[in-house]
Amino acid sequence: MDCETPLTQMNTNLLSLHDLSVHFAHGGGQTTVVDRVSLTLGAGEVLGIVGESGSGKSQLLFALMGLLASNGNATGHALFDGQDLLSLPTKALDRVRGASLSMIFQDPMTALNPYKRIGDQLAEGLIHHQGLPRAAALAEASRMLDRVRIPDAPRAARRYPHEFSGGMRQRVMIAMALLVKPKLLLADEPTTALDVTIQAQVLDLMLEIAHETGTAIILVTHDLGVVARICDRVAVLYGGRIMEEGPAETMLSDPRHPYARGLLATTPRLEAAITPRLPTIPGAPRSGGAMLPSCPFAPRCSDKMPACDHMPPLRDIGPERRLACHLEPAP
Amino acid sequence: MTPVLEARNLTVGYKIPGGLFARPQTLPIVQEVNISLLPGQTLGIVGESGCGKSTLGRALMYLIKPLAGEVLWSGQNPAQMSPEVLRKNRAQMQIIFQDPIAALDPRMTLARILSRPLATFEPQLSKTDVQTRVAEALQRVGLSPDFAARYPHELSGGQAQRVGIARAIIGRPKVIICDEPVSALDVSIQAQVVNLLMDLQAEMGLALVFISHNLAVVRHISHQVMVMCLGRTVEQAPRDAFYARQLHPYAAALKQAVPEPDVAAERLRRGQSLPGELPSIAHPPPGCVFSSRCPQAQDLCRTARPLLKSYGSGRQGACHFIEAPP
Repeated sequence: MDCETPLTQMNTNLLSLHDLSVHFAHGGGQTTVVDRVSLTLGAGEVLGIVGESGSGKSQLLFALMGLLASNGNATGHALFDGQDLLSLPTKALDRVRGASLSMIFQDPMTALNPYKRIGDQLAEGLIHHQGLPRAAALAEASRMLDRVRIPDAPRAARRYPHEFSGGMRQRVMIAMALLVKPKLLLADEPTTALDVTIQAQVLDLMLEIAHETGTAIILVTHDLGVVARICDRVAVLYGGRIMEEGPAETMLSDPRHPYARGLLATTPRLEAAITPRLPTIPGAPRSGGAMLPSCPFAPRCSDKMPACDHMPPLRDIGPERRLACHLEPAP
Repeated sequence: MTPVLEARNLTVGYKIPGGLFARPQTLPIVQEVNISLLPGQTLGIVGESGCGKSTLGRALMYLIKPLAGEVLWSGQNPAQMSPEVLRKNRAQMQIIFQDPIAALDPRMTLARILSRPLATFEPQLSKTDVQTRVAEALQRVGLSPDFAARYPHELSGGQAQRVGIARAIIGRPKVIICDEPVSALDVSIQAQVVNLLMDLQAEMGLALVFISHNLAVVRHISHQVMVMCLGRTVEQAPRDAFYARQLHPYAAALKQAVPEPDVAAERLRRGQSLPGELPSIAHPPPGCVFSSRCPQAQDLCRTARPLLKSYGSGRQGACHFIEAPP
């Protein structure tokens, strides 16, 4: 397997993914949904992972969190804070997950326990992982609920999840995830199910508190607007592979990969001139299948050439920018 | 020209059953809405969840009977039609839904799904005619005729939405209500479906009601835009005028909240989000529906509900403090 990131760079980063792949066994076969992804993340940095359905973006997070379905399996390395998340025994992984690695999901209702009061659920992490006495943990939970602007926090802490609106539940999730001041927050489409004005609130809040606690974020999203709002860097994923990666600012103003360019062009805008037809990417996102030797985007790509039968490696094309496409000549 | 679809002071609600001590009551969801839609035109209806936009869509289809006011289909009131006439007239009104796969019966082939409206509205058609129409409808939405033998689970989300559109157009309707038709689809597929709807509109002279929470999508397809908040119209305007300047602070806040793929612009918007949430539609505030979140709210806004007033050039707004546009 190609080694795409020199091992020497890995120690200065909070998280280094090295050839991370995720496979699912089924029938007599195997489907690869994440294919040799290498990425790094610095402390406090906000990285967006952008992709459509089937790009493997959520499975990548699940693999880091040790939450893959029972027929799933992750290979490669994920060095987090000096430990490889993929080879940690469950007990050690539990310690990491409670103390320095948290995750929030698109649907907060699936992550909250419907039978337990919000305050108790929040306090749990502090009691188990930081050994706080119950009363102190509850007080801290209530302070955090207030911090995420849940009105009347001490009373809200005594309520059950179903008593909150969708936006409030997502704020409760954020409070829960950031209460232990983790070093890294994994956020899987956290605002996709919310109304736009509530989405803006939740994104603001997530970023504010992460800055306070020094937490780094990996945000998985399909929305380039959300990336622009909170991300420092962005990686575009297609068919389980990174197509392009770089600082959010230059990636969104000057994307190089035909897929990244297509995504940006198809995103409807509020200010751009209205054209009779919206630009489109023909075809549909790739779903499942075995690992390909070719570029997974080739069947939809208008710049396809014979060389695309072999997936190009991700290589440097400028300051902090990496691209996996035959189009761009090497500098 | 007669509008193909009109709503006049339309008020729609749901009955809440009583309990041991509670009386049954009626909860109005959509209140005093006025719409007039000409053939070949698109009305975009925008609002957040719970604002009544889907209920309004169903009321325009006359699937929910109005509590007050009326719906007119090409000038005719469905409430005054006999059941037989109403059934025939339903052919001119069709609807497509947000979750395209859930909207298709999993046990039916696409041929059967697509021929159902024909069986209802044009029972005189021969079997061959039906097959021809099914093949034609599939081709019109960009699918090959051999899709007719497939089942819904064999489709991607984008293909399923195309089938939903094929089912809507097969009976040659005048109006299609599109209820969040692209919000469940991938970004690259959304644009394909929006383009398809616009093409069909041009070919068939269709009028569309495009219900969405996404102001950026609505901008591309609509001729008129209507913003709803807690069951009421707060602003209505021709598309270009609306996007150039919103009269109502809620409409402006909605536009402001849409994140755009522009890092410089978005960094400036950080921390600018509007606080609070909308009140429940079951307990609307006495004054303006937006008063609890409005950055410009005054005492008047919390006590007196502003009426929808005209501001020239087809613009309407419901706010006490709208400055007339130049």
